[in-house]
Amino acid sequence: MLNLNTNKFAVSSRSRSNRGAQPSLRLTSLVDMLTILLVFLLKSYSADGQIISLSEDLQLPTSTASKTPVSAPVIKITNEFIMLDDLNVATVKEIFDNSKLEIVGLRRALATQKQISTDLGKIDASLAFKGDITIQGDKKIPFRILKKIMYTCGQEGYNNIYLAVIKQG
Amino acid sequence: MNLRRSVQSRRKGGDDVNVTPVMNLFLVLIPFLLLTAEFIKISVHELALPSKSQQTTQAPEKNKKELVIILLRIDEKGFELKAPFMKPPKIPMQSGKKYDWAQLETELQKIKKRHGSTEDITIQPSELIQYETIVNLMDKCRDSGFPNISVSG
Repeated sequence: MLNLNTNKFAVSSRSRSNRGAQPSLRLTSLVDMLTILLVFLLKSYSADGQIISLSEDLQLPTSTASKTPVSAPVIKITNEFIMLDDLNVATVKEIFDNSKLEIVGLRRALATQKQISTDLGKIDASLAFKGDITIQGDKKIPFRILKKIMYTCGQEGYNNIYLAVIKQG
Repeated sequence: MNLRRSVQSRRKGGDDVNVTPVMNLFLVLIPFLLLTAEFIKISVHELALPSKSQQTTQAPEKNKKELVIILLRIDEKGFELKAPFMKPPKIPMQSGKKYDWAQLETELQKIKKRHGSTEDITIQPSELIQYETIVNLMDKCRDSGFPNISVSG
């Protein structure tokens, strides 16, 4: 009844001779693909990982600059808001219309940040306040906004400004 | 069975290479590399503002060298360069509201030839210049041999 090895279907001589042997998969093309993938991934390999996380609501300008980013507080300038480490400190419109050079909200936030890093510096010298700050600005923001932010940073002692850009090529 | 198989494959031409260890290696390597891969590379432009304490210490040092101030003004009409002993022409915008980057580069190189030891340049953008344009301008300055860029309002 349960004779599975029927003679109803014609079995080719090759498969008959292979019966019982382990079937082997053709892996060559898969290995080829994986090799290409491996080379591609090795090219985009980075040992130190991402120090800065990209913000979704702003587009950084592209540049040929090659300096690697440092870990520092980040000021984000989107089309609507100015943020220090994801804390909203001012709106772009309000700053643009204001004639004063200093951004009060940003300065207050920077002062708090500075206080924290100075306090941390007493515990661990590698965390001490160095005056570094990273600016992530949308590529469409006018210089008027940037100027005010740079002025405010300078007033609070953040003198080493790093402008984050997307590396070209 | 094995003998028959190998005889058969030899007749067919060439034995199969055992790729299983290679596959194992790939299976480990690829997730690892995917984790460490960086698809968008971020780099930074460094801008150092003069600080109150640095100004006093650096000033006598700078006086020893020949102090050359190169100014690069940019507004809605185009570029304007200023360098000592030189009169670079104004670089107006091209038709279609595009900045004339090529012309700027040649002028910057002329200045670099005249003041070879200088690496400082000051960019003065007008208020409505877009951030992207300023970054492009900084790229051009650095490529032309002026890596110490400062921005003044």
